[in-house]
Amino acid sequence: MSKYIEKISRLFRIIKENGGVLGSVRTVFRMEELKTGTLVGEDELGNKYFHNPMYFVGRSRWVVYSDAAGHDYDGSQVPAEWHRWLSYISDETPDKADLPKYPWLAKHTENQSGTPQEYVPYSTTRPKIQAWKPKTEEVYRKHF
Amino acid sequence: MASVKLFCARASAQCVLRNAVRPTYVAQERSCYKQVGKPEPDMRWKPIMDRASQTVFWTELFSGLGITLGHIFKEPATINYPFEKGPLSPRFRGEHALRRYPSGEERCIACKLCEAICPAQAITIEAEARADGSRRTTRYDIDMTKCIYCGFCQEACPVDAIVEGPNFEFSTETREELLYNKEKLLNNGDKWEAEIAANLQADYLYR
Amino acid sequence: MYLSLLSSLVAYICVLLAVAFFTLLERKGLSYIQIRKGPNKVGIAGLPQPLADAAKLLTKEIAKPVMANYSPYFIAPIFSLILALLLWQLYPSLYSTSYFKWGILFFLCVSGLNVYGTLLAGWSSNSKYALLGSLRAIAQTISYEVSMALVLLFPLFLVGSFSFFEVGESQESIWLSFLMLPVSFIWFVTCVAETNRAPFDFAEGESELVSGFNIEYGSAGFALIFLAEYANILVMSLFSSILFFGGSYMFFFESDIMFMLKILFFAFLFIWVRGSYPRFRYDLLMTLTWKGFLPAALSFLLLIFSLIYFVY
Repeated sequence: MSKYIEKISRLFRIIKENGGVLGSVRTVFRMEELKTGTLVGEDELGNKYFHNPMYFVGRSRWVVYSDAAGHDYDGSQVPAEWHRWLSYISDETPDKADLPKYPWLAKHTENQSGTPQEYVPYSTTRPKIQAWKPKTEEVYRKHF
Repeated sequence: MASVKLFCARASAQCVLRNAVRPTYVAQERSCYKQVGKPEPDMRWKPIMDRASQTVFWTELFSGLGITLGHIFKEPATINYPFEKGPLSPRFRGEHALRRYPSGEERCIACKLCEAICPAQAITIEAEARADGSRRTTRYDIDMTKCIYCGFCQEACPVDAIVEGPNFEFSTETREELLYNKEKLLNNGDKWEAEIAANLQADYLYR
Repeated sequence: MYLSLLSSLVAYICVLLAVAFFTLLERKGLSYIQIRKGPNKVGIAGLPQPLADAAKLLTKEIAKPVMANYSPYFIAPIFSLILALLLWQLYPSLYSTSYFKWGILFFLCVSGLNVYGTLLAGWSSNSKYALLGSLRAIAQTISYEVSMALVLLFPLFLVGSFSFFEVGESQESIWLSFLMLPVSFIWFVTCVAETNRAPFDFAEGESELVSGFNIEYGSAGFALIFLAEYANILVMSLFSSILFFGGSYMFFFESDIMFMLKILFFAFLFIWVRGSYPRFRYDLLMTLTWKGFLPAALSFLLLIFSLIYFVY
């Protein structure tokens, strides 16, 4: 019996943590889940990372995408450092793990396919052949 | 009862006889049979009634329904994907990246081992001497639509330049976006270096 | 006249809405049976999913298979849907504008015609899978109709009326299923087979026939076939609850809500059964009805008939 009382009290606690009934509805609308956990950290994009070992592995770590993303959240918005923790590759959060920091490291970007910033392939070599350019136009201009 | 006893006695006599002549046998005879098929149904009234009521009232079907009903109340195994992600290995082979030395110098020396080993022939490399005389690639293209993510390229690489990073969220809306060139690969390396380096470090003992 | 038209229209709209959300219930129910979650991305907890599905299906291009016979190909889904909706005229409500005195006969006629929708769809598609699927469905439906008609005779004999209304009214003190539980089981299985549902879904048979008789259908045609199928399921659960499980009565307690809950339970039972049992074998299916249900129903009928004749 106490098991069920605990579950019900947990439900109320989760609703409270998610900002009351209205906040919970909003959370469900955005994230399809109501969960409770401890805030582990926040990255430079504003994503918040949570942890709760009560859930099974695969669900025990989760990210709440920043409010700036709104409903356009995407799996690729997690930067490399947190990706390691979120994918259970390491148990250490990036502030505790000894991750290399170089000045040339690039800022994380989400998958930009379909946006104006998308990658368009181009050749990184100079062309091997010089194409023949017909000079007829010049000749035409010169003579006529 | 008497007939049963008689039968038993006869059987044991047979047994004794058989054992006595066994040395002369060529083929061994089996005397101990096991019923492996469906057992004969018990034809007394009570079992018959039980079976009939089991059939008529579908007890087995209802217990099956009970099992599925129990499953409804179990915790679903669904992972709420973009928020929660499945576990990955440090060796996970995802999107390719070209790495740099800590100084920022690119690692690739254009040995073309990756191009040679690539079973899908997805890699194209062209090399030239750079202004400072070092050998570098001018073209390093990977056709990600051809790539089979076998990881041979990173196995072949002598300088750990080409690696398959941990990123798998690089789907695109057009096909051409998957024809990666050197800049794209280097940029990937710059973006994911922190994790790539840590993953290689975590796994170096087993390489 | 106008009033009855209007009431039918409102009823049909309600049925179609119910069907839409029944598909959601099915997807969710099956998901939870399989320890997963089902659709949850659309809106809150996936509730508007059927609306999204409907919008998607109805805005898709209507494709015409090159080999199909166009007129029957396009008439078949409409025909099925009209038949499925026609059965809802029998809904035994006090507020209904139509009263069917011979409701059970009407039910038999209309559900007998149901098979032609499948036949038309499968045959006119001019595709092997569709034809095979529809042939299986027809053989199955016709066979099960025999035992269904026999099972329907039980309430007829016991109540002495063809009207669903009176059959429902007569179960005020005791449900007919309490009098003959095995027969009501037979009735429900026959319903499942009649609507071509799992475990008797040979008309679809994904593993062998891709999608069965509706394989050549897409967009609106598919949506109509789908609606017809699920409207049939709902109407069958309606008749199950009214014929054998007391309609709106629950042990001297009467309420329309109880009736709805019973219909919902039987509709969910269709899903539940689908989630629980593997597909039957086709010869076993035929054996079940011809050598199982038919003799059983006949002997039960004999029993009931002799009881009524000699005892009552």
